[in-house]
Amino acid sequence: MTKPESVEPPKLAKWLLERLSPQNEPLAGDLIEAFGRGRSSGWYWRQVFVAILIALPEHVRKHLTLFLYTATCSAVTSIAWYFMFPNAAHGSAFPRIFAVYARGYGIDWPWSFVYQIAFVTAFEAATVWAAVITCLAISHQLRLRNLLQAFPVVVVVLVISNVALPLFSGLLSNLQWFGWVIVSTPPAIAFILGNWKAKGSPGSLIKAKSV
Amino acid sequence: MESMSHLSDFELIVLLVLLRLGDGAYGVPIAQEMQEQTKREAKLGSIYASLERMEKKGLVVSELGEPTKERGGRAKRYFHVTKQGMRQIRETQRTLARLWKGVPELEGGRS
Repeated sequence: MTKPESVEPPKLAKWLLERLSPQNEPLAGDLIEAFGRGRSSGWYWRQVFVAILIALPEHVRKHLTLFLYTATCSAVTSIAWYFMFPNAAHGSAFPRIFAVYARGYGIDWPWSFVYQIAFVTAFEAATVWAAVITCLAISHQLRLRNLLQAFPVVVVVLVISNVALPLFSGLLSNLQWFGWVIVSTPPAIAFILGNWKAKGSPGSLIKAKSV
Repeated sequence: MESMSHLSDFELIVLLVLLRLGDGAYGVPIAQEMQEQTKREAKLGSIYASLERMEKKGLVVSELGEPTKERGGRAKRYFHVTKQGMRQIRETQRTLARLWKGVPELEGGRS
């Protein structure tokens, strides 16, 4: 066994385990006990990662409607983004929106980058926003207060992911279709967290629907 | 004859470790014993997932112990092999022994 780095296990890992594998208290206790006996933070993180990964299918099964809805919204966003750009086969499906995007071509770096991030974020936020509003309406929780709670979460997630993704553009283009899936995930994550923040539970859409 | 589903390698190892540990079989010692015997790091999440599957099949039973300070106030979950679990272990042992016999490459202790 390696020497412990601190008495307390990594807080973020502990927090994630409590939320994403909440049914397994004895497992959380085992990890704390083993960490106290000298296991490393890396070991703790690996154990938490595997525990969350194992609990994931159960989460998906439990909140299947929400996951399908999220995947659909995310796919619609990606398809809309793809068809916004004109190519040899067809013109832009949204010429006015594309005209706004194209204004960024005439701006010098770094402002062109800032413009692009702002545009992509606004584009994705519009679809995520529509998805959150629909969810709140379904569950009769459509109130301005709930929307305002979700707004900063959605924007922060989208800005961070849209700034980070271009850094890995080379890697993502090599991944082909899987790269496209990765690029489509920020709106999905933004929707889940926004919905969570607005309603206090990631799976409340399901409860509202099943009542 | 009652048909039995076969145990996976991992399930068989977990069940044998439970038998070796006796009354003190909960997460931490199970993982330690598995690591010592197999020389591979055992993930507690995988062990619990396997034990829960086997509990549903009636091969093991579990009971909660007292919460302790050392574990951040969380209880231990002790596991025991049931009679059905014992039957399944023996059946798997017999199946493996049958498969072992008559294979020239495996006889004489040569690699």
